[in-house]
Amino acid sequence: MTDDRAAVFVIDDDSSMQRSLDSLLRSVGLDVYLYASAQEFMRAARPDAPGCLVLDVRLPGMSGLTFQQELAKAGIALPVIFITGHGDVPMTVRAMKAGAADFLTKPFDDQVLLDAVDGAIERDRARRGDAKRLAELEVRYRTLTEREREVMKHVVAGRVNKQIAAELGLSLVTVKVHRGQVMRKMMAKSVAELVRMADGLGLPHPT
Amino acid sequence: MSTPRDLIKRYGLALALAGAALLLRKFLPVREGTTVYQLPLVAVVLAGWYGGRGPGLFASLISWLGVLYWLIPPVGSFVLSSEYQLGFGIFIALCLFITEFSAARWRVERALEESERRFRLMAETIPEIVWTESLMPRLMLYMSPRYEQIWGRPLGDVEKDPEAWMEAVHPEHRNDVRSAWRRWLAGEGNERLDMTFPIVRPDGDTRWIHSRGTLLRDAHGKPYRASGIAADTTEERRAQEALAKAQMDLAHVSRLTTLGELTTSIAHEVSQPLAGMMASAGAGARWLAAEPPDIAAARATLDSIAADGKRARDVMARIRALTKRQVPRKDCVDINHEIQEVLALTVQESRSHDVSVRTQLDRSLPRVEGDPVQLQQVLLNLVVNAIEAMSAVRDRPRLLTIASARGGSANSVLVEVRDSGTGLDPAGAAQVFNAFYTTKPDGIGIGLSISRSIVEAHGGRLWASRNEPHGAVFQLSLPAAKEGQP
Repeated sequence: MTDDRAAVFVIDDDSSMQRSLDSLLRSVGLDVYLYASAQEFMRAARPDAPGCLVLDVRLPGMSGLTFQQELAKAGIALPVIFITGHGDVPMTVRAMKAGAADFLTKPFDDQVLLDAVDGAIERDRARRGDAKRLAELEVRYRTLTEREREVMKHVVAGRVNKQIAAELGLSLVTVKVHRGQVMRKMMAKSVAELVRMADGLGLPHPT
Repeated sequence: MSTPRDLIKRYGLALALAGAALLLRKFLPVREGTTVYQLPLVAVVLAGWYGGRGPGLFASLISWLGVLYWLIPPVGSFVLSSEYQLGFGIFIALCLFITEFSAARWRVERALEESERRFRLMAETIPEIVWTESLMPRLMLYMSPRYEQIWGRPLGDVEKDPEAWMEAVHPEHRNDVRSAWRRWLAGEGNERLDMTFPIVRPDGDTRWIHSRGTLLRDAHGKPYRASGIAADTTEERRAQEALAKAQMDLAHVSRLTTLGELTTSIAHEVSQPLAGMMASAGAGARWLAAEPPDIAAARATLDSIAADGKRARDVMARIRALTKRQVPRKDCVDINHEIQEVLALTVQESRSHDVSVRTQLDRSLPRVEGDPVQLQQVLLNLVVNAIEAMSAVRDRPRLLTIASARGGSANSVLVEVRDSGTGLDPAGAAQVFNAFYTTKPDGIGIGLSISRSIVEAHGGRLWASRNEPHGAVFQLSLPAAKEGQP
């Protein structure tokens, strides 16, 4: 969809580990950004590109799991790949439940990390695509007038023009005009597509 | 002291002597010029001499009665006519005087005998050899028979040659012992002799001897007599060796236990460079496979691999040093270096417990004399304890501070391990160093007890107190190594 270069954000306070991960990820053509701590990552200006986070569970100052919650609070939806020194099962379970993309135990195979990173980036790309479409829909929806939104609500609910006219106390012609405007502004080719858009926007269903 | 038997003997002798004197005077042909008093007087002298005052008086009494009855006319009666009164009076006085005189001698003899008896009793029953030697001429005046038991050689040898005992000294020590001994006897060494050496008995058994002695000097300051005692300290030595070995084993076990608590962190510490190496190797292969190959990047990955390899090796070396079981050494130890080693080993442990570590090390510290492994063990123990003491802390920073400084007296070194943990109550502070006292659910409680004995074996002290406002401080002071040592 987009051919933005993917970015990998590595947070590790161990400089030699940073260097190794940097070299490995760059060798497959990824852009790598290195941070020594979670705080440094939060403060830094990050490129707006599909990517993922690679971080050590044992971060200084803030545990990896706490950081995961901080990210969610800050609205950063980057997938997180955890690296841990030992396979701590409860920690893995918690991280996975909190939405970790992957959990690698040190020492890991280089290919395993690269696969995990690729997978995470793909997912992020998809998520970003969805988010972008949604954002466009929202822009379109915002161009609708109050009356048009009301008409759209009833159209999506599967009502025919006559029913809508009766419900809203409008003439049939006026309803048709509004409906045409809705379809045009929302760039919907069919009622079915409009329904999907309403779902995507999370509009309430009229009863 | 005076048994009835002894009394009977002494009084019997007095009776016999006095009786014999009377009979001899009565029935033997008596030469002109002898008086009736001479023989009884001899009997009184002898009775006092060999029996003391009582038997002397007893012999006197018998003599008086006998002389009066049999020898002084009228014979056969106790009547004393006036012409004999003066002579008999002098006889009585002489008897009393002589008795006093010879009884005094008897008492001195008894006292001497008693003193001699006491000396022998003591000298021959104590487990040490007691000896005294004349130096001009060289002659062994006395050596207690214990010598025969300890040396396994006859006392006669030493009586012939006062240095015969040296033949048993272990050949490796013999020359040293002989020269030290002769220097001492010549008054050139210390006034007091104090030396320890092994001897080999004829049965092949080796014994350790601790020999101490003093000199007596004449008016010119020249030694003329030497005396002393020699003790067999073999058992003591064996016990000490066994104790030292037991302590060493226990310290080793305790070290392994502490390291066991760190297993997870140490595994992390090793897997970290391993992970780095694997990632670098993968990167290197990809840089070389690229079109065109990126040689510079590949070389950089090799450098990383080498650096990680070195790091893993250092971790292994630290652990190996601590897991080795070895006899404590006496090195000149830079305590700051040992602190750094211990912190390097526990960096993961403090990280995973969210503990910030601060150091305040005085770089100008003198070195201390001791065993680096054991001192690391003490520090490791204190650091691990401090980290664990803070694991329950949620409402304040977990802070571990290690400081080194000069001690109160200039020639000592002070190390402080300070935490912000749950701290010690007064009862706990007194008990933490007791063996098998522990506050950890799975602890054995020997770490601090062993740490204290290690520090004390180094001539130092280890104590605990409260840290303000939170936590505990463990302080240890160690004497600085003497000047001029490397």
